[in-house]
Amino acid sequence: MNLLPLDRALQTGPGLLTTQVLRIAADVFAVPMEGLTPSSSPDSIESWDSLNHLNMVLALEQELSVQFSPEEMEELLSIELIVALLEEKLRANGNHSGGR
Amino acid sequence: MREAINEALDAGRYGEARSTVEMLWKGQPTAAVANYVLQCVSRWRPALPGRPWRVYFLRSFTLEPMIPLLRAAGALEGLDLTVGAGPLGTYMQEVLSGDSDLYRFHPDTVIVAIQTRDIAPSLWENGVPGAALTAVADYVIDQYTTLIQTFRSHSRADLILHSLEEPVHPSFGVFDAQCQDGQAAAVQSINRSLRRLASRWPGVYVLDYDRLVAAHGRQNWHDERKWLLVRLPIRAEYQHLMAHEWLRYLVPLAGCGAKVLVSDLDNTLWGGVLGEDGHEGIQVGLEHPGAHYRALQQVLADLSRRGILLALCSKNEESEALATINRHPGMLLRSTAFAAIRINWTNKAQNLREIAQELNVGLDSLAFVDDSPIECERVRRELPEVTVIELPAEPAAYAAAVRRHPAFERLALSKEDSARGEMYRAQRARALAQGQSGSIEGFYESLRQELAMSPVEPVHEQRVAQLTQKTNQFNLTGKRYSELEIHDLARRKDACVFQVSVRDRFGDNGIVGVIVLLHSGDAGEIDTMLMSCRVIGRTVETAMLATLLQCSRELGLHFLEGTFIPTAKNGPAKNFFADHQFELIESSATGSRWRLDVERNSVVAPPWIRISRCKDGIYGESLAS
Repeated sequence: MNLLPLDRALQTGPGLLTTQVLRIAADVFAVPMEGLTPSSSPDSIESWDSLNHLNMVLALEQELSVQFSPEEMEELLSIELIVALLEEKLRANGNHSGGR
Repeated sequence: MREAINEALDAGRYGEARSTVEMLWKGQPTAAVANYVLQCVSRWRPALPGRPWRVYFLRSFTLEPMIPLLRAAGALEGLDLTVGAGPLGTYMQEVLSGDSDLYRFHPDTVIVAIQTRDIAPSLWENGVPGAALTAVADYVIDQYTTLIQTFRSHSRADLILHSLEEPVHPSFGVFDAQCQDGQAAAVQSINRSLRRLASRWPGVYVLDYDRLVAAHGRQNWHDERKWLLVRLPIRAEYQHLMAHEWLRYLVPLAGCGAKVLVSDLDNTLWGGVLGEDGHEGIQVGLEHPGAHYRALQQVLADLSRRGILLALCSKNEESEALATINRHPGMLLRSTAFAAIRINWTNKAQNLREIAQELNVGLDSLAFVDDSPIECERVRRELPEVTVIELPAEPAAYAAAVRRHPAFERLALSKEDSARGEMYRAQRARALAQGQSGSIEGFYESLRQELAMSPVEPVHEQRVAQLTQKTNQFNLTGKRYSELEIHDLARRKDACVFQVSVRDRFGDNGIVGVIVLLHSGDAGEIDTMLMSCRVIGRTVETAMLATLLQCSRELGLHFLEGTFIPTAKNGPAKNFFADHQFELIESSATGSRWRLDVERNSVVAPPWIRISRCKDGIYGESLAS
């Protein structure tokens, strides 16, 4: 599969994680990947409505094996914010699970 | 993978594109990939159409994110789903109001997805064991009874009811399990009543939601955060399983299931390669590791009792393989369990074509089971109509992979279903007889066929509907009817629904033909005339028409008219009207109209078929001759 679990994705470099998030967003919002940038947000993507926001959160949770809290869900309002939060979650995860 | 898919789509290699998309989806059944799958589907749809089917949800929780998952998975099973959903929690109002979105949607299937915590909160939390909970259970069942009754007065669509879920944490803890009137007991009693209700109403089915949740773990299944935030109770990772469960109902309801399971041998029905490991070296039996292969054989045996025909397609030396099948002490299935056998070195796609032909079914009725990704890929590319089930790498997971595949689900079983394997074995004997008796008339004579035609009996309405759903080859108009529609037609004054059964010296074929005749004044219209492929090529259609003509005379009809509507598969019925003295009155790309003068024709039943028209459809006394 061309997708990696979150920890491996991050080990390979943050660029790859961004690419993965862009791909998921492109699929969910049905726009070409080239049409997305790190600053893409509900303001710039017309199909980024509340239902598709939920769909994107579900896709991220399932494909990257993470869970978002309701507060976090409301913060995920641009591609770069999503990538930043995912990176943060991985670091927390790393501390949590020690020397994995 | 996506590059390969796009390349195949651009080049118009749709079978290959679909096969790769299927792999992508199986590996990653997520909301994002579902959207991508649907984009690909829209590109191959013109070349590989799906069966259109409309599904409407009456629901008490958010299921919108699961709709793309359902549509994507459905498209890969040959369904073209249009899905609608009513507002959260207004299911009762929608059912009660005759002009609600529910009825305006004209659904083929309606799914009632209601949760315990919505319809009966005290059975989920904050409930004290006692008479109050029993009263809640009674109230819930009253609700469902009203729902079904009212729905049926407005719509003939199939109705699927989710069973209610037992609470994850009963309010009284382990004490709940000590009570006759605790929360879990009340939910169980509701679910029992639901089954009873469903069995009383044709076209109403239960989806065992409680079992589904339990199978994947109650704690894992739920996402309490999303429940509180957006009323979405199911965790992201499990939503595709919910969609899959719906498909296990929609595939058989839409008539997209498989009729034949074609299995490989090496590393499928036994472990190892017969040609290399030898009769003594292969693994099959009750012990590890042979038990995994025997477990798959057990699944096949179960499917055979469900009416699915079994066939073999393997690259092996035929005599050697047959000897092992019939003599190996660990084998559960012997060669007599298979309706068609191709053990040779020819490519499997060619063998599958031959098997379909031998069993008189379309390629889309075949499901192919193999452990080899290469064989599977080849069949997917060459024969995109065939359902391909690639076995997982781990033999311990074989049985479940086949058992949970939607292509083999059946929502009702008729006597014909469970005896089908037997009937096809008799057909092999018939084919042998044809080879032996010199002239074709001599062959017909030797069959000693008896045909019984009568108005459809209530107990056979289901089988008659099933035939209209599944018969593709000898079918003049290809009209599909549900059990309820047959039930209604049979009671109309201006319509007759006939069931036709045929038996011969090799066995009883059961009900194999249907005629729906509509009439007004002196004109009759052959709305439907079809015949199962089991009896094609035996002049049964002539006997059916001769009997229909006699019925028409009794009804005072002077003309019989009919339309032939060509489909991809009904070539065998193409010349029926022309061969039976009908006059062509109109012809266009979508079909041709034909007319027969009921008095002025010389259509008679073939002398080698004995006909009876007893009311109850019993063979024997011949009224027609």
